[in-house]
Parts: sequence; structure tokens; C-alpha cells
Amino acid sequence: MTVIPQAPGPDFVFTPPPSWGAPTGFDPRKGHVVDPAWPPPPDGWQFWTLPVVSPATRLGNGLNKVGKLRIVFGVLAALFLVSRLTGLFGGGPSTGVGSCWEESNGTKSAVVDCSDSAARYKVIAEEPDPSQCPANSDSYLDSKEDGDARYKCLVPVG
Amino acid sequence: MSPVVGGTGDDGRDGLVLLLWGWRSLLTVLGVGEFHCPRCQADRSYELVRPRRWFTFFFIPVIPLKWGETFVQCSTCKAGFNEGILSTPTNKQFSYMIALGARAMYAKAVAAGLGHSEQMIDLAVARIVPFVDDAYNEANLIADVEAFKGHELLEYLGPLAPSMELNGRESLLSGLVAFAYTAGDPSPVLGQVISDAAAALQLTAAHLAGIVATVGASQGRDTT
Repeated sequence: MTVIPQAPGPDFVFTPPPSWGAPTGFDPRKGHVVDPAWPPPPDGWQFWTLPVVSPATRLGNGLNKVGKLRIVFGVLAALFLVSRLTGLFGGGPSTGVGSCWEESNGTKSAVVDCSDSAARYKVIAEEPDPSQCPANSDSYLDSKEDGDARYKCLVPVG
Repeated sequence: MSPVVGGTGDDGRDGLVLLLWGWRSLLTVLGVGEFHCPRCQADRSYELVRPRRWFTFFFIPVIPLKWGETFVQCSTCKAGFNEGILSTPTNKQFSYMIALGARAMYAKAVAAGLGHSEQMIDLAVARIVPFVDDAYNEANLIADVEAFKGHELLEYLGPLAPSMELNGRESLLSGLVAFAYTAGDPSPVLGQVISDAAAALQLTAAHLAGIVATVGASQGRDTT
């Protein structure tokens, strides 16, 4: 008579010997009884094993499977997008009000960090017409070529 | 004002930014297997899943929120069921259980002394075959008589009762009663096998008496 040991834990699954004609899902815990006509199990047979199914995650509608890697990728992509939108990481210095610019070479000027020694001008306002710049602004930056319809009103740094 | 020409251009933050967010459930698959789907009315594969709400950003799940209750989902019809559905036997499991129960019942009846005649053994085999397969024969029955010795009928019929309709249990017991009464009134030992079978199938003594009377009437006997 075959004696089946207790399951070591709820996560274990019953594994009948191949010589038993046990139906799929046979599990003594569900009241399934061993056929006394079945041959004895092989010596040392492990009746209880941990399932080989690894947990997976998928969308609730059941259409797509989403693995852990994809979720991690999604989170990273979302963080990257947010960082680009907010300029927290790698967005470069602002070119709006408060930004600092180096001395113009006559045709081009570049934005620099305000603590940079090359900083010569600071933007104090952005106006559609240079004549509307504040009185203390003695120069302006024309960035129309770059699609910005406004002029950046400047004051010297320091 | 002295004009300064040029600039590095737009920083990309002055336009309208469209943000899409929302919530949706992700299902974590805890296990798979086969179950009897009440909706499909058939054995189907299933997934044991646990849902979890996620905050999504541009349709990408970003922040995990509350866990839901674990449930069983049919892989075919996608219907969800309480985890308790897994205790219901599949058709294959039920066929196995009923075959085992029938074999145990008739093996006990034969062992009770009725099966010493070749004719009765053949009759017992004929009653078992519908539950098993055509390959079941006299030798199998003799082997079963030995195999089921020392085992109680309750062990094999008991698990059947909760998942078997009343008329199914009546039919199973009626077969045994008809078999037992073939050669006249059964011996006390065989009568005990019938009583044990009735009790294991959760049929009362009164119910058993009714079955005996019905079977007796169909056989043209007076069982009163």
C-alpha cells in the first residue's frame, strides 16, 4: 500500500510517478485517492515538488503579456520622459528669463551657466518688441531665427 | 540698446505638453493548471492570477497601487472564478474517481462471497466496464478484489458524494443493488457492503430501502 507523505507546504504540487495513470491535476489534498492497483512508486520518488511555473505579469484584459523586464523598461522610459519634460536631468540650462549668455561674436551667442565666468548678460524679460524691454535693459537678444517670436531683454552680469 | 544677434534657440519647453495618465490592472500569474470551467462546461486550462492596480503614464505602468483578490481565470472564455472552483474535479478527475468507486464497490461485493460463480464475475465485470474501459476483464476484477482488501468503501466513494448529483449516486447504488439481488436475497455480508456503499454516497437507510424496492420491482421481485 502506497503511503503519500504530507505536502511540505501549500505551494508544492503533487507529482505522481509516470507508471501511475493519474489524471491531470491529481492531488491527494483535493480528496483524490490512489488506485490500489497502481504499482509502487520508484524508490526515493519525490511526490511533492515546487511548481516550475514562474510568475508572470500581464495586462488585465489578457491580451498582452508583460514581463518584469518590460515593466522596468517602461518605468525607466517614463522617468526619462518626465526628466526631459521637467529638465531635471540632462535638459541643459534654461534660455528663458533668468538665463545667462556669453558675449556675442557678432552673429551668435550661447547660453551659459550664470556662475560661469563667460556669462556677460542675463535675461530679465522676454518681449515681442525690443522697445518694450525694461528701462534697465540696455541690450536684447534676437532669437527669431530659432523660431522664438520674442526678444530676450538683457542686463550685464555683475 | 545694443542688439545681440543669435541665440541657441528654443529649449523645447515653451510649447503645449500633452500628458496621458490613468490606471489599469496588471495580473500576476501565480500558477496554471486544468479545471472544470462552469461557463465552458468542459475541462479547460486556467491561470491563478492576482490583480494589482497600477498608475500608468503614457499607458506605461509606473506606480504599483493596491492588490486585488486572487482569482481563477479560464484561458478559453476568460471568465473569472473564485479560487474555490479549483476544488471541483475536472471531467477527467471525476471519471477517474467514479471508476475507482465502482471498481471498489464491485470488488467488495465479489469479495463478500457472491462472485464465486463464473456468471456473477462476468456480470460484475459487465457492470464495471461502463465506468472504466473495454479492456477491463475478469483478471482485473480478481486483482481488484485483492487490491481493495483492507480498504473501506468510504475511502473511494466518500470523495464522490460532494461532487455527484443525487440521481447519479442513486444510479450507482442501484447498479450494485441489482447486481446483489441477481441470485436472490443477498447474504448479510453483501447486505453490509450495500449499506456501506449507501452511507459512503451519503444516502440514508430510507433512501436505500427505496432503491431496493425500485430495483426489486424492476426485477419482478417482492422486496416488501
